[in-house]
Amino acid sequence: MFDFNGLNFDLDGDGIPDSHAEFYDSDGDGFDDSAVADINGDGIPDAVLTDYNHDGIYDPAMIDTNGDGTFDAVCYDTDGDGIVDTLVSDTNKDGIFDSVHSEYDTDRDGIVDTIVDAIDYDQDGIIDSQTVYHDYNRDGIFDEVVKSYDSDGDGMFDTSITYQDFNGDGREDAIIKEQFIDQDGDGQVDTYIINTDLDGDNVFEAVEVYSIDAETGIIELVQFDGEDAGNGVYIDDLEQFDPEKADMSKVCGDPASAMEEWEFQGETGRCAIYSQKFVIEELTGQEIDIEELADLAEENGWFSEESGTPLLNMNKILDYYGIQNEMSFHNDIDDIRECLESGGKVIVSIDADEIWFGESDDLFTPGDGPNHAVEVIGIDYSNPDEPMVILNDSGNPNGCG
Amino acid sequence: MEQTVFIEQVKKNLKSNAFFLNCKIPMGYTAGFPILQVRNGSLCVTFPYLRYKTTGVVDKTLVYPIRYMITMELPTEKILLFEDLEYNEKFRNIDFRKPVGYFRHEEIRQYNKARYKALYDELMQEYDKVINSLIYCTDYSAEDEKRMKELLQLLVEPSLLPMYKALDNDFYNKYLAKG
Repeated sequence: MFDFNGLNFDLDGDGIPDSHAEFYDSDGDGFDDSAVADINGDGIPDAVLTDYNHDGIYDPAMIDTNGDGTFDAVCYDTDGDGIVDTLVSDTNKDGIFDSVHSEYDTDRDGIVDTIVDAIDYDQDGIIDSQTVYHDYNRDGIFDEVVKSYDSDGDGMFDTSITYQDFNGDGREDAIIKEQFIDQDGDGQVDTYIINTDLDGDNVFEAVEVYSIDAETGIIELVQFDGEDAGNGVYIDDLEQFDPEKADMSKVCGDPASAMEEWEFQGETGRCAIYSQKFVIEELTGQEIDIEELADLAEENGWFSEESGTPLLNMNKILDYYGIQNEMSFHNDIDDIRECLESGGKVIVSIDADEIWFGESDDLFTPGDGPNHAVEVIGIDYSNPDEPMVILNDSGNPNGCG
Repeated sequence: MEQTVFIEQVKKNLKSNAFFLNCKIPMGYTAGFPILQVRNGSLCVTFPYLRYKTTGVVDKTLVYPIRYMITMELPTEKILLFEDLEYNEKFRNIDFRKPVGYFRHEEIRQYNKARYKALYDELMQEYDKVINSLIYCTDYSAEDEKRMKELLQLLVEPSLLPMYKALDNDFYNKYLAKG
C-alpha cells in the first residue's frame, strides 16, 4: 500500500519503512511543497513528489522504478480523494509511457471495486486497449469485465466486449460485443453492431446492426414487416352474445339490431371509424361506405392509415354527420348502462389485448393505455354479479356481439 | 411538508392533460421509459411514445419505433415540448409503420407478467429516487444509480436503443450504454 503523503513505504514488509525523503519549499512560502524520495532505501532517489495546488497532498509522483536514474513511472490521485489510485509506467523503458493501471474505491468503503488497465501497444502515445474490472457486490470476484480496443489504429476505441458473471462463479454468463465502425472511411462512425451471447457459450446468438450518421445524427434501424409474427392469433373461446338464446328482459341496449351493422376491419387501423360507422347506421338506417369515411377522416386529419385515430378525434365523423354526442373520461359500467337505457349509443376506447388474446402470464406488453375503439351495444345482466358487456368489435373476426 | 415526485403519477397526470390530449397521439401509443435531462438548470423528463402490437404469439409482440416525445419540467409538470419524430431530420430514414423488434426480448424472456411488473415498478422507484434527490436533495446512493442502470439496460428494448441514443446521448451514455 502506498502512502505518498507520509512517505511510509514498507516495500519488504518487515514493518519498517524503507523510504526516505528530503522535502523542499520550492516557492519559499514556508511550507514544503516538493520532495525527492528514495523509496526502496538503496540510497538512490526514486521519486519526485510535488504539491502543485498547496492542499497538503502530494499530487503526481515521478518514480524511477529500477534505480537507473531515469523516471519511468508516474503515480497520482486522479479523483482527488487523497489516495494515489493510478500508476502510469514505461514498461519497456523506451522513454514512452505505455501502460496505465488504476484502482478505484468508487463507493469510498475502503475496498477497491474497480480496476482499469490501459495499454499503448504501438508506443505512439495513444492508448490502444483498455480493460475495466467491476466488482459490484464487493465479494472480491469481478462481476463485469469490459474490454475496449482500437482495432483500426485511428485513435478511437471502436470495439467493446462486456463479460458478465451473474452468479459469482468466476465464469462469464453473458458476453456482449459492441462495434462502432466507419464503413465509408470518412472518419466518422456510421455503423453500430451489437452481438449478444446470453448463455456465455462464446457463440453469439443475436446480432443487431444500426446505422448512425455521426455528422447529421441521422439513424437507420433494422426494420421488418412483421408478417411472419402470427398476426391475428385470437383466443377461440371468446363468448358471443346470441339474442335468440338470451333473456332480453335482463339486457339493456338493443344488441340484436346493432349486431346487424357489424363488420370486420381486417388488418386496418380503422377501429374508431368502424365504431362511428356502426353508430351512424344504427341511428340513421343509412348504409355508409367505409372507404368514404376513411377518406373523409384522413383528409381532415382525424385519422391516418399508419397510426389510427387519436382519442380526441373519436367523434369527428359523428360531428360531421350531425350526430349529437358527448366525450367523457373515467366512466364506469353504470354510466354506460344509463346511456344505453336512454337510447344512446356508446363508443369506448379499450385495451383490446386481454379481450382478443386472453390473460396470460407470458403474453403481455409494457403498454398501459387504450389501443382500440369498440361500440358497446348492450349489457347482459343475466348474472348480476358478473354483467356481460356486449360489443360490436370491428377488430376481431369474432367481434359481432 | 416535503414534496415528493412520483414518476408514475406524473405519467398518469399527463394522460388527462388538455395540452397532451390535443397533441392527438393516436390510440395504441404508450409511454416508454422516461428520459431525464437537465435543461438550463431545470430537471426535465421526456416521455417517448411508441406502440406495441400484440400478435397473439408469445414473444412475438411487435415493437415499433418511438414516434412521439413529450417533455415536461419537474416538479411543475409544465409541458415544454411535444414532437412527432416523423418530422425530425434525424429519423427521416425510419419507417414508423414497420416494427423494429419483438417483445419480450432475449434478456427478459424468463420474466412473466408479474415479475416484469415488479422489475418495472422497481425501476420507477429508482426514477423517483434520482428525481427527488435532484429536486429536494433527498438521499441517493451509488447503489441506487447502479440499480437504475441495471434495470434500464435489462428492460429497455434493445431495438430501441439507437433511438434513445439519438433522443438524448447523455442519458444513453449514463444509463443505457453497456461497458
